[in-house]
Amino acid sequence: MIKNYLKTAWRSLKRNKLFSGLNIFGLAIGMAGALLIAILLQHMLGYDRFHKDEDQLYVMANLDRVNGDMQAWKWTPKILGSTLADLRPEIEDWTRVSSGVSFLFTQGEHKIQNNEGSLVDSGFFKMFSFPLLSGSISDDWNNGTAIILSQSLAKSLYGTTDVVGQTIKLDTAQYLKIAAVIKDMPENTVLKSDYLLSWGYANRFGAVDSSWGNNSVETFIKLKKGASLSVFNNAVKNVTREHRPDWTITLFATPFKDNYLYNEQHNGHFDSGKIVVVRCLAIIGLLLLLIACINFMNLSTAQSERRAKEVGVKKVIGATKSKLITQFLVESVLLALLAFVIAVGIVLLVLPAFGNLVEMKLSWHFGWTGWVLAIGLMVVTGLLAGSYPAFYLSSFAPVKVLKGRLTKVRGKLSARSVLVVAQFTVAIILILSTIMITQDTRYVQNRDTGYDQNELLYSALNANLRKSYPVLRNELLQSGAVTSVSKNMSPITNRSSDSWGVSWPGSHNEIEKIDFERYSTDADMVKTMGMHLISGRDIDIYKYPADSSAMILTASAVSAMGLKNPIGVNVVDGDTKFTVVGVVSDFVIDQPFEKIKPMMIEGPYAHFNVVHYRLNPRHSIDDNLARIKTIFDKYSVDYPFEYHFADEVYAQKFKENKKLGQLSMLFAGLTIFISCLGLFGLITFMAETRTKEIGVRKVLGASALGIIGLLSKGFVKLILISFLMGAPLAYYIMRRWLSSSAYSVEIQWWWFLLTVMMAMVIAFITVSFQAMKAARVNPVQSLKTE
Amino acid sequence: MIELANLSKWVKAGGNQTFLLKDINLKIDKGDFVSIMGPSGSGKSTLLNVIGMLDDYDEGQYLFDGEDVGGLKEKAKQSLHKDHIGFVFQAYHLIDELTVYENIETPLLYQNMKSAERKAIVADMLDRFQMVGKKDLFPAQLSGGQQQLVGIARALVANPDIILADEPTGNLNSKQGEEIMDIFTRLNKEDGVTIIQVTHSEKNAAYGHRIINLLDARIEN
Repeated sequence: MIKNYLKTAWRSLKRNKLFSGLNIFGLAIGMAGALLIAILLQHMLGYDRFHKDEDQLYVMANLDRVNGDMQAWKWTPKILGSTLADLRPEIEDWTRVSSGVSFLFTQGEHKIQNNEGSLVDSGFFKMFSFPLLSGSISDDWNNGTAIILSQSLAKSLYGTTDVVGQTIKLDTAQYLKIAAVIKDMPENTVLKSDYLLSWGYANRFGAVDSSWGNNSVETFIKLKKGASLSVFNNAVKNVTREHRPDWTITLFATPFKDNYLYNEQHNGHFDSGKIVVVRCLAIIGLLLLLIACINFMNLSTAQSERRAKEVGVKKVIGATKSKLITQFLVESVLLALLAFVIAVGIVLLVLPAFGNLVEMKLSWHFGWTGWVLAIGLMVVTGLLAGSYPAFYLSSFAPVKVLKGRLTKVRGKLSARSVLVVAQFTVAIILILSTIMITQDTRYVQNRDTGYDQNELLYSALNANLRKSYPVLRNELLQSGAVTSVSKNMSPITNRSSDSWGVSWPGSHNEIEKIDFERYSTDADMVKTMGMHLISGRDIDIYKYPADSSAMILTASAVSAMGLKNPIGVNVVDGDTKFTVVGVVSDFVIDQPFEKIKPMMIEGPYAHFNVVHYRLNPRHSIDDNLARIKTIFDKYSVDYPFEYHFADEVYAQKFKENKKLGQLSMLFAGLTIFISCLGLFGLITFMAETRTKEIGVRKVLGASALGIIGLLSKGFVKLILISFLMGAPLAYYIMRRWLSSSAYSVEIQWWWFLLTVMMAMVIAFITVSFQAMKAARVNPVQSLKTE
Repeated sequence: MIELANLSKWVKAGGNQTFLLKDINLKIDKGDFVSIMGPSGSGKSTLLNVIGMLDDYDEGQYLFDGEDVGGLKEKAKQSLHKDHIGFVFQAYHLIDELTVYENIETPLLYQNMKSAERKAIVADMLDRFQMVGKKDLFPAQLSGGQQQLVGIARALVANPDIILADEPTGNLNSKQGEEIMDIFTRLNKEDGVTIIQVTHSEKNAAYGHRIINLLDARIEN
């Protein structure tokens, strides 16, 4: 029996090549999209889910009221880990982690600058499943005279992983033994590092403080098996306050396995972040599959005229309804299988490109459970897609279909119209989302940043450059390659530090909770960055030696502090008293999608990590860079000259959004494509069932154009209904999306107009092709069949 | 075997009741060969479909082998139909996707017959209609007469008691038509198969033992 089913299925598939092709292809595209999303989700959901004791691992976090809102953050003091371990016996292990450690590695000819290093405690290796390949966590490593390398870093330095005991040169003058080599960490861990140093190493340079106010590391703990999180949290909530009685911070631990997916907090709870992306993608994946199924149903039932006779005959010669349903389901599962094979091919082909798009190293490693799931999904898709045609076709009354009276079928058009409306509703929501994301990105990109990014560059200050900074600055200025130079805390494109509890004459407790961005300069910041000075002057330590405690405020800082005459006011930040010398207009530091916060720019008392310089517009960029390079090379021996264009770095900030825009465009495109296949099927079906009507109308004198209009009219209505359903839903989604960032575009009426026009045009092109064919048929032929 | 008593069927169109069959009284015995004649729209095919249990009726009684068809559930009707009735159509209605062999085999598939048994019966049937050489051809590759032979072979393969034929020669030329009629006669005489045929042709109608004339949904006497 099943053999017979397959045979009939295969032959009818071969007979209707166009329909079968459209059917399988549409389903394959939908499946491929869903599979890609599944792979992406598998990657994202698998983040840090490979640690053996994942249920015992936690991250420490703080909770406090900031600017009136409850906020939680995971930066902790370095002293926290050991304090907690002494206090609570249920802590089995703990480690502090500070990532983004950067060194220049030198091994013979090989020079590798790598900023993927981390500082960790020895507990790290007992907590997380990052196995050692060779060597051990030695005392040398704990004391900070040895380093642990990843397999691939060892390989690229030495060409082999057999390197334990060797000595490697770090930066200019440090030599560390290699204590161990670890297996490369998987891509999907938040702890991804290429090399690991102990906090003993940081201690050698006096970089380990025991201040409770310096929140600069993440603290991970492992609780003993069976230990209760709520008991632990209850016991440690006051630990910070015990050391700083004037503070109101509450300490708590939160599961480490949620660290990646729930990376954003609202009102003090880590309950959003990447998980939102995961959910959106899952929904899109399911929708895509659903649309492909709908499409399949549409195309299958559109062939009903052809299949009706077969159904009638089979019923007359003894087929029961259930047997026919089984036959059609077997057929659709067979089609789904073919589609699945094609989908797997498509996925293998586009996976690398898709990985680039989402910037994750994705790979197909499903394992047997994955395959069972995928094939299960394929069968379910086949059954789901085949269900409607199966029940629909098998319900034909044989007397009617055998007499060629399929008139009743036309009534069923409504069911299929609902399917088309559903498809286009989803398509319209996705088109609108794409327009919104791209428009929003463009809008924010055009935001006035408050400084001039053009020909503004920065370079990081390494140990050598820091030492010889004054000469470096002089030479740069004298070379004529730059017009201005300023040393700062962080690149103008990155927030580095913030502060609250700042006081000034007239401030009171409540107002002191304002959270200020903190920035720094030695001199010429306003000139170098091209900022707008509102009053006072720039900080310049070279001209005014007292400027080491000078301060510039931004306009929003002045208004937040309620100062009438800011110049000359004394502001106390931490232990230092600054005097305001100038006010500048607000400028965007870090996130262009956010509201600008009040900011204090502090004089040279603060620390410096980068130097900004503005190129001299009278020379070409290449000339300027060549001259600058010679000067840097002179003072920055051993380090390669690295520079960044501020505008390029700034543009990077839109990458996430652009990526999202591209993804949504990709899926919107797929949805539209599949929907059009469905529409094509529907019009073909309509043209088929109305052959006689069209013939009669032509005999009575209808023009081809009139016929096309007749057939297309219904679809215009369907698209309009889809739009009326999709637009409010899309409006709601857009409102929620745009309200999540402080600086965003207003929803424009023309987006809706554009969307509905696009949908109309695309639908019309799809429909008119078949309508034209139907309109051209010679009526003599179509009327003879009766 | 078949007894229709005061059987009527109608459709309602805008308040008007139009009879498709009116007060039909008909008795057909086992081994009978009946021709139904009448002008277009007189209800011939409807009567055939009602007898074949493909269509319902609105009033009266239909006894099949003494069983009241009106009181049967859909499933029971289907199995009655499957076991006792074979259909032959004017337009053959072969399944285009299946070969001659497979077309003939299909009714047996729905009888849940074992594969070996099926093979034997189909081979026998092919032999009987002298179509062994054509068994792997598709319907589109056959002439109309050949297609109708396949249609009859398919109707016979499940060994029915009755063959219902709706203008079986309507699409054939006279020579092919004669052949089909000869086959029907043989089946009736040699195998005792009851045959009910609808036809327009006086000549073909004459092959039957008796002729029933329909006019405006009634049997003419």
